[in-house]
Amino acid sequence: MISAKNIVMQFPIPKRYIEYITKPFSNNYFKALKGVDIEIRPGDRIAFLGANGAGKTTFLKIIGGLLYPSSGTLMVDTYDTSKDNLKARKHVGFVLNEERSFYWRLTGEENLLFFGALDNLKGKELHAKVEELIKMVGLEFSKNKLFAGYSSGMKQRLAIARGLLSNPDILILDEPTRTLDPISAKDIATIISERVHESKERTLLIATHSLAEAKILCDKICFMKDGQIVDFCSIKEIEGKYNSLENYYKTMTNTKNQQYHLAQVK
Amino acid sequence: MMRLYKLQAFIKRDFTIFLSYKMALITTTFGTVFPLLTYFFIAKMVPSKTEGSLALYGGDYFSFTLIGIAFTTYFMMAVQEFSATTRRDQMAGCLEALLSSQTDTKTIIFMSAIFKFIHNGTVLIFMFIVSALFLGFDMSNINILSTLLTLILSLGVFISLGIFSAGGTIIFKQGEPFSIVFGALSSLLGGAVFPVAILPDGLQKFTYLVPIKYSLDALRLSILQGYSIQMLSNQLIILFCIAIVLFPLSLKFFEWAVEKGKKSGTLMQY
Repeated sequence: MISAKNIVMQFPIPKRYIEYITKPFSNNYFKALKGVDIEIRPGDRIAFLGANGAGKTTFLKIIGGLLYPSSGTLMVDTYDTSKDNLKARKHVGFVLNEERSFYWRLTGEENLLFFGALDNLKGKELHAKVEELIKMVGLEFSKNKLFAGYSSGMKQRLAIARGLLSNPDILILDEPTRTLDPISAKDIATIISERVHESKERTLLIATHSLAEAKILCDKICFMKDGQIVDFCSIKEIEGKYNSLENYYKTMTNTKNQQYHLAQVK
Repeated sequence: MMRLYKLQAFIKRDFTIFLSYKMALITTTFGTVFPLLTYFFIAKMVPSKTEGSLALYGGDYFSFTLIGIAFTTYFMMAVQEFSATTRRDQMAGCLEALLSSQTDTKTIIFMSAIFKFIHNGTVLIFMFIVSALFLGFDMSNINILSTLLTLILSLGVFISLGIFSAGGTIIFKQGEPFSIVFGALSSLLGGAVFPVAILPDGLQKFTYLVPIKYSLDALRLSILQGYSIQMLSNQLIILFCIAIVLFPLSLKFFEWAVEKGKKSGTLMQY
């Protein structure tokens, strides 16, 4: 269970040189999230949609405990992510979209063994888990290859495996196919839908720009704009109302249509 | 609680990466021989008038400098490594992955630096062995117990400064003041390559504020003159007091810096 109440996140805007002299003690802030409220139930599979800068990644990072909100409370299970960060993190696996987030001079397997130890796995249990995940993401024939030699698709597969090391209740994927060609992107989506989400109790939160990915992997969407959630509903509901997710997305990204949609919702 | 398997994972990670750089082993280990030789020959030219201030430590300038250089380098590493490893992981893009794991931030920062402590400690021992075998460095008077205690207390002080430095790196990214101040003060006031007794009176008073002065003093006396723990009690008590105050403060500061970084979203920036 994830419960967000009035989450505000503001980032300081870096000063220009002159401002260090003219305004040494003042800071300007940019509000990335402006009062986000949401309740996510166990087993929900939610695609976070919205334009770049809408606040999707920021919100997911707060759920993952990588950022603390400026105000508001985010509870994962019974833990406040700002106060009981480590306990809250135990429920969450985070698949980062950063290709460099592994050690390039270690093999894929060595990377997973290292991160597995950080996720409290040891000995035979650690080796068995790593072996199982490597097979799951289809890297069994390149597990002994240095990470530096991996393609973008292989790196993303390894990132998914890392996110699952602790067998988390909640798996967060931040644009998992952003850097991939269409075929690799489809492979990743297949891995997630067929193998990662075999446990129906696992909550899946995905920030994505791909509507196809959203349809394959999720049953709900959470549409964000300017740091706020403007819509949170099931994909079935949307398809009933707009015929397709694509039509809905066009409506939501067109300001005039969006205002009409919001008026209808109200 | 210290998780040994996590410690092992960090050491294995860093050792594997270290070995993957083919030249690193050769340059970092054998590269220390050249400064040793340099100081060995400089020692041969040191005018006899400085011998008075060296007398307390046995009078041999090479032995004096060897201990000064070797341990200042080691302590400097202790001060810089925590921030260096934080910055390395920030720049490599791994910090976010580490912090999203189920290990707390303090443990990650500590364990990320362990391999460097082991490696540099090995290099330090190598320097002493080479000096003893080939350059006439005499360790026959060493008091192992007081040397070890001095080393442990000194590490307590310098690791604390290192944690301050890591916190500073999270906040300031570059140019954090702790290691810069330490580096500048140590080389001038710490007595790494000359006895602080030769400094002008006014400047000598400032040397009492520099922790490395006590460390080097105690290490020289225990290694070269065999001073016991009791004989070094002044230096050891001062080091103990500094460590006991700085260590918890540094941890608090580091926690505050991480929280500030997470709140402002600047933790991963570099």
